Amino acid sequence: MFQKIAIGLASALVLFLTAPSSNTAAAGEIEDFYSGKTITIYIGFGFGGTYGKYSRTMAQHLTKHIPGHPKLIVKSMPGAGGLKMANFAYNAMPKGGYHFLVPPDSSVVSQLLRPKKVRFKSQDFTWLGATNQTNTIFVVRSDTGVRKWQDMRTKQVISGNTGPGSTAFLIPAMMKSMLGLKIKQIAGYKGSSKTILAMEQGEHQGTAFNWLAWYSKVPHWFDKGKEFAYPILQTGVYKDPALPNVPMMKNLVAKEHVPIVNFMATLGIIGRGLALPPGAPKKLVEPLRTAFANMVKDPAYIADAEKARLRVLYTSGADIQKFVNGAISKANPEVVGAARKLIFGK
Amino acid sequence: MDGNMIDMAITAAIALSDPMRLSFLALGVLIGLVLGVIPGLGGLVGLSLLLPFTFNMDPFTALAFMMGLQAVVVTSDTIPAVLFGVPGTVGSAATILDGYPMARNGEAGRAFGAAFTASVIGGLYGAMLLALAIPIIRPIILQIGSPELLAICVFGLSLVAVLSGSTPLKGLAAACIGLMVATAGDDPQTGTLRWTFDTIYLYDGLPVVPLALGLFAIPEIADMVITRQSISGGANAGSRWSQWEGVKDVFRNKWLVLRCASIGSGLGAIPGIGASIIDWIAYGHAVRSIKDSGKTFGKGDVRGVIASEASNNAKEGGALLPTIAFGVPGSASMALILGAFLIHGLVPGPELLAKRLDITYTLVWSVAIANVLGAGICFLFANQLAKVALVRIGILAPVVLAITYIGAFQGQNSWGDISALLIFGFIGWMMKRLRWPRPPLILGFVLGGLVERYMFISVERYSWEWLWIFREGTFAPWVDIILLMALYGILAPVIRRWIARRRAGEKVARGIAFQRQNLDPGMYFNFAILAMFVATITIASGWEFGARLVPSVIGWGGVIFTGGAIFSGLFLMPANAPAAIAPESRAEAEALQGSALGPAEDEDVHFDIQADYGDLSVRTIFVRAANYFAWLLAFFASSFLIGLLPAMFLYLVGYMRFEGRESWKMVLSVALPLWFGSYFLFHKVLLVTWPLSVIGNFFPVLRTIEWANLF
Repeated sequence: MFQKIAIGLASALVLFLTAPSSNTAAAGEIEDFYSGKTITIYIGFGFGGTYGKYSRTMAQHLTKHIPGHPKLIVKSMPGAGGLKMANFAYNAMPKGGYHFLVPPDSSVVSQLLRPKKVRFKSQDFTWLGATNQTNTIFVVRSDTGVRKWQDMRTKQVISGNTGPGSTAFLIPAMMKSMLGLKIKQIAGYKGSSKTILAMEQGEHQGTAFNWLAWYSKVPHWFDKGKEFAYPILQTGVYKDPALPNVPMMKNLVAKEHVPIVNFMATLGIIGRGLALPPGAPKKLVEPLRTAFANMVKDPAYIADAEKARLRVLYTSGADIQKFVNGAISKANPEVVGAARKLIFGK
Repeated sequence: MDGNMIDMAITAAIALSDPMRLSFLALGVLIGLVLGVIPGLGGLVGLSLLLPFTFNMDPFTALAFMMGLQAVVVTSDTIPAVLFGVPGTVGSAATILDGYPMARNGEAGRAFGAAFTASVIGGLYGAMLLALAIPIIRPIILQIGSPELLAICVFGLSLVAVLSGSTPLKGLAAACIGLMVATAGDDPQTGTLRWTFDTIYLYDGLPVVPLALGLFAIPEIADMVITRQSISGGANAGSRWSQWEGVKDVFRNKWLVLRCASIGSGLGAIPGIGASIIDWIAYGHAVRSIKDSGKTFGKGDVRGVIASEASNNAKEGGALLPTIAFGVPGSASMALILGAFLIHGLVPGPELLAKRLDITYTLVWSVAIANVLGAGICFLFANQLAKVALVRIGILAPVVLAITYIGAFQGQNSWGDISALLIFGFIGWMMKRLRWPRPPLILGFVLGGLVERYMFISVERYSWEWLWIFREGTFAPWVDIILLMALYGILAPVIRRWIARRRAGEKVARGIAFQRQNLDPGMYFNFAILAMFVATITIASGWEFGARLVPSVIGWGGVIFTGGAIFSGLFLMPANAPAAIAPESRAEAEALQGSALGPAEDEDVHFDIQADYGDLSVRTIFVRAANYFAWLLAFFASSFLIGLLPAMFLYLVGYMRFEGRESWKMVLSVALPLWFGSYFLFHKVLLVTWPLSVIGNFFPVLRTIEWANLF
């Protein structure tokens, strides 16, 4: 009896506390919501790569732009090319608005190509914005003699990657099957740093990461006149501004492959940004998107990003949401099936 | 060292002597020491929390602060390892094997004296190596590719042979268990999810923290509870002089210290070979190189503590090398230090090595000063800490267990951590009780993932040429040198023993008959392990080749080794049973004598802590053990219902009051400070995301209140 009363009272309290929530909120309400609180940002990779670097820089600066100025901290939950964290975010992350995620750029691609492992729907994340577009750039050691992508039709390149879900696997696999290039893939390196070290050691000769991974880790490879390696091909929606002379893959493939390359290009749009897990309070979306937009314009943020050899190429949360939803709703089973066949051979 | 380097070393020393910078270094040391003592926490947690505070410091201060913290975590992690048999971090797991028995013999002070002295020497050695190796490190690391890494891991695995003592079959089977567990997660070759049991938790494999704590901490606490004795039993905890004795031990074994420090710093410099591996390799080296180690190691030999501790402090200096030279962090903690580099605009690689030597030497000095300072502070408190060994078990056991429980949860902040802790806790306790050596299991686990990874890369890249001294026309002798060392380590003792027996003219003829008396709980455990291996082979047979290959090989290995142990126990007739051998391992030891694989007749070699229940009856042991594990399960269940931290309070109070029969005053004066301390540390400072509990699901409003968000 007592127990029932207690539960009744508690439920009434809960209703009372949670009732007045609507989709839009006054700034004051958000300020109260976040004042003195901590937001935890989860990344699906280790701290050594660009996910780690961007999330830390964002955590440091976003606090200024969110009403109430909450503290932001970053946690790393690596596994299965970021899928572990994304699965966790969709299913088990607290939805109160105090937990954000940096979705892996392969979210949409994995959802379509590797459905067995994916327990999330990218379209159900609420995207807040991206601070960088990350075209994937295939880079080859100069001692292979490869200077442009066509050279790889005759010269074989050994390419290392971190596993079948990674861009370092996906993009070279597409180059191989769609452009008929001679690429031998070796899987199993742990993280981008070790993959790049193995390339320097000569264990493999080239692979695909986003441009910043290359540029922040091994800038000296690209010194004019003494190049250790060359960027030769990029995949994305728009050309990377730092690489105007590196051809885009979507312009080179046969017509029937264009839709596949296009949905792979979601990788670039998603880039490195923030999202809320499904079920987070709707009233937070607009204020947080605004905060994100203000952050990327903040000179202090841009300066700190540059110091860490990162850059800022903003995409709004609304745009990513549109792009992600579109890519998934338009992905017809034929294109997805063809992509899977071309990439995984089955 | 040329003039420029010396100039730069002096510049860095002057920069670091600034009182402000030194204070930050000291602060880092203090934080590091605290984190090291608490099981489950380590440098990674501290650094990820403190990194944002370093953004506004100058680079010298920031790096001194961070390195100060990171360098001493492995100094203080010895304390719980020696006192409770609970590793403070995974880097001190090997310290337990001799450190904890020393505490039980009333030699905690001596163990601390030896450990801290070995730590400081190891740390200074690592710093020195870092200073000297900078100009030559790039070409060296460029030589170490996947085949070399594979050879190093195989060498590490070869130590299973020595760490198995007089139960080689059980040791090998235990290693197979570890290797098999290591294959869990997303397989890098085919992307198959292996042994994930449909959970997200195991996508990236099992984290090492709950495994190590389960395997070592849970069984030790269980045995404390079962024997109901304080840790040091009747012996006293020793005086300050006993610490001095430990210091002298280190100087008596100076060559061992230097060898283990070289192992630590050398392996530390290789990306991928981490803390959890290095202490075991050093310990294995000590066992192998010290004459008659079988008689004393695992029973409280100070040299075991020295080996492990010298190596794990030396590692940090080494681990900085690839970080500075290539921007490849040797560990997760190093990735954060790398983060600090980048925030201050320092790009690791040739540029940093050539133009910013002052930064590198700041790191060298920081590691050196931190080690001296850290060990000094530990020495000051060691005497007091050693007295913990005298505390009543009704208070001590729940306190240590509660901290271990929350510590294990720091693996991934998931229920999976707790489940893994309990599962491996039970397996560990069974293994300890039935004299299955545990070190091979953990060694198999920490090396398993690497072996598979580098094997696939090496074979796919070079096919079988990876084994040859010329690879693609280049001279690459290291793989063969390392593999020959491993082979020598395994074969030399076998051959020596064989020759000795030949000389003695011993003839071993053994009959075969069913040995009914050996059909005991130990044998049922063997059957259970055998069944598990058979099951893994069956399940793995449904996977793609790349995913299946390694688990199948391990599974068959496990079947053969466990089957061998069962066969020898059940069917080989006993020879003249040497009385020195404990009954549990007698069957296998006897069976293998004369096969040249087994130990000499008069040895009972077991490199693990042994259960000593005095004259307790089997029934008493069983009842007390069941009671202990029931409390553990109740803790788990109540965590699930009301949240982990609230359940911890219930457990502390409940256990001390009803099991320990302590007075309410005593119970509350221990439980309240401990609970609020944990609340402050984990909830307020470390900002742990607690797992979702039933009560929190009913009342989500609880999760919106920051101070009450425990549910």
